[in-house]
Amino acid sequence: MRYLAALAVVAVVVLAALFAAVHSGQASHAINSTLHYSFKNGSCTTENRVDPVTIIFWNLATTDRVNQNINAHTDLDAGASPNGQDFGYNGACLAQTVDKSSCSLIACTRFHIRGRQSTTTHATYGTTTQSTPHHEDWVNQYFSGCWPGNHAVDKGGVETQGGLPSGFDQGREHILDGFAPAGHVYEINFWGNTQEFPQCDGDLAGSNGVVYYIKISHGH
Amino acid sequence: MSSLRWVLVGALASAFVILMAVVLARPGQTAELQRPDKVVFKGNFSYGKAAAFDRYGLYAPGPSFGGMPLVAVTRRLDAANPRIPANAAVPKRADWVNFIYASGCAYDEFGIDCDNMAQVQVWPACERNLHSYEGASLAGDIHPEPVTVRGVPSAFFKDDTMLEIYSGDSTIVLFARSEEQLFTLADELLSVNAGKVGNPSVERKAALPPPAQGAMTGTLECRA
Repeated sequence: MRYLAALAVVAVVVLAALFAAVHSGQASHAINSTLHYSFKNGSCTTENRVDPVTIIFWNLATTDRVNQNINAHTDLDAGASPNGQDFGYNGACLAQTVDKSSCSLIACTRFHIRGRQSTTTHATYGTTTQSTPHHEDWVNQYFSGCWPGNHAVDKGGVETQGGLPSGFDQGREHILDGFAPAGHVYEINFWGNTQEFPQCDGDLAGSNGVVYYIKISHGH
Repeated sequence: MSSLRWVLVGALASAFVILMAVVLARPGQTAELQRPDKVVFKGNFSYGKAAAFDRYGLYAPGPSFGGMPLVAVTRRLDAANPRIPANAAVPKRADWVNFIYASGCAYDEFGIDCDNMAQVQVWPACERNLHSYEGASLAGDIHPEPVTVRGVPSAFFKDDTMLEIYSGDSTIVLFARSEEQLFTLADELLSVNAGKVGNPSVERKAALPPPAQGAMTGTLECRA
């Protein structure tokens, strides 16, 4: 009897330890250890934020598979930009590994996506890559902040007055417009990363905070 | 005389080539010369329009905050996103008035870079509230930390240096450069459109109105 009681105590302790281990694993391996914006200057600090993250590719979303799927399902099949950005994971600030656009020339209005594969595996979502798709205009107006030419993400406006969703929201929808018909499962979440960013033309652009989680199961 | 003319033409042509070479060899400096001296922000709204706004209560620290002037006010109101189900907790559309304060700004290759910046982005609580984060919180991707600010329930998002204050029919979203600046900004908020939607006048540091019924559970209906 005493032996059985001891065994029960040991079993409870082991189960508690397992429960704690599983939950601590979820906490340390979640996407949460990423930051919710991209960054410039190799430093993932608040003042260096550039673009909001609005799409997470998950499951088997390595850099190669994400690039292959973007090529296969969207018109963002060209290289992109000289201005690289960084993404924050687990305290590290890491250079982008995805950089695709809908126009092979620098000087054009286009859709553009930057991204970075996570350094750890998410307990629920597996291998993930976070990304910052957007629509941006090429602006080379003399005596503007964009001179002699630079990209400016579209500002958002008031729909009833002819305004459009921001370039960040247009970019996220454009990517899903390509992936959803191809059978990629997606979830819709809200991260609230709606800070607005001033562009070189003086406009302000921000996401509506919605983030799509798009499942990647194979390459192309 | 003829040869002198050719010498003059040659000299002028050489001068032009040298000038172009100098210009093209230093594009950064040339770009600076052709850019405006002062950074220009283009908001699509104003403090005056915000004072007359009658859809939900607005709050901001006034014409300046912490030595930063109000550089722009923006208004976003999208059509509802058809991808988001009607019963989802996620906001169906962007709907905000954003007050942007900044100082020490200059153009850079990514747009406009500022030494200091803070934003007060006010949403209707019927669109954005603590309930909106349900899915991302369960996945472990977002960590709202419950706090009380000026007497009302609020959520602090440490990873994003973001604070959400739930008051009346509004969700007041604050962005700042540091945690200290964030809570100082919260202390400095005052009502912008008092009385327009039955919201009381609120001075700096005073208690804010409690959240409207349903604002914290995601069941508050939006005004038409």
